[in-house]
Amino acid sequence: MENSEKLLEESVQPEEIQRYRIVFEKAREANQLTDQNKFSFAYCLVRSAVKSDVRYGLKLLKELYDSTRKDDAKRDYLFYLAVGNARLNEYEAAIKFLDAILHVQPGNHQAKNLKDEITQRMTRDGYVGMGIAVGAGALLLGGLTAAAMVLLKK
Amino acid sequence: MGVGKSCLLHQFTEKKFMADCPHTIGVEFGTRIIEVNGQKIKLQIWDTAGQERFRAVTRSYYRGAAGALMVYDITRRATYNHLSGWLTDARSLTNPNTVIFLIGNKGDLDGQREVTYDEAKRFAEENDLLFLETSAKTGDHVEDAFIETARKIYQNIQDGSLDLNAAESGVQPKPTTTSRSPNGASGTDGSGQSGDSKCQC
Repeated sequence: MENSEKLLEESVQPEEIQRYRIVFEKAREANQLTDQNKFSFAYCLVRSAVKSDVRYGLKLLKELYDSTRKDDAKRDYLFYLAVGNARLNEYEAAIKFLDAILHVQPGNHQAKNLKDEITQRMTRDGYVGMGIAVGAGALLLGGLTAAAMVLLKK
Repeated sequence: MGVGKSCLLHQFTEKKFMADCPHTIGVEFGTRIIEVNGQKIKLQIWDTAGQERFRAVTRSYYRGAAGALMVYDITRRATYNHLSGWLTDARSLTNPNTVIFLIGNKGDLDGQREVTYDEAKRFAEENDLLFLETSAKTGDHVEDAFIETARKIYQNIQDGSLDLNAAESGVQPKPTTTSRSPNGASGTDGSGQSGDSKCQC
């Protein structure tokens, strides 16, 4: 679980992102962009504290995913698609990507742990909504009791 | 199929063999507190992915590591042949005092062996590496590999060849310690000794 928390909480330093950005852009200009340097850059971006970086990282990962037929590579791209989405609080999308991994590898503990961590966060966020619902229910109950008391008084 | 880095770590931290372990995605970490010469040391161990795709990721973890475990599979010669490439990375990205331990894993599969003990031992000696054959499956020598690495790091601190004040020594003394003893920090941010285990899969 600790590993998953780190993935969702810790951010890559802007200098490091910049380093990989330079490598990426130079390679692209020289028409020598490989999946490897594209992935290294995307891996940094999805762990950035800046949301637009994360989105750009997700775009690159999607391109990588679509352009490969290697299963193990696809699995790695799916994992970081999940990480990026979760960092944008797009939990449902994140879980969809993790389920895709778990469908092929039910025993993948990294995917499982990250899914658990995300589910926990959803519950935590959902808890606020539930609190309001309970409040409304209590209010309603109060109203009914009051009505009942009025009836009893009669 | 990998050389067994995650299985070695799992065996060391959980004392269990993890069968059918999938390839590591990116990096994972494990910790365990051990005792060396009566000193409690918290080891923080980074388990890096072996695939080429993660090479840049792996490289970023060498810095600040006090030790590295370099693993190959004794039943697959190709994994042994790749060692010099990994060693180049390890040497160029760590400080000169980083302890590098060579591990020949899957020692339980002696019948399928493609790399002899003597050959690997010679390679280790020529390159100034510590060396052991292990089995993450049976647990054979797994404990020794990690503890020997820690002991060697500890020794480097004792004889002054590893400077704790250097930013990237990979060792963090316990903040409240009153003696000069290099206790591993056990706080949440204590990095203790870190070892990257790395090799191709």
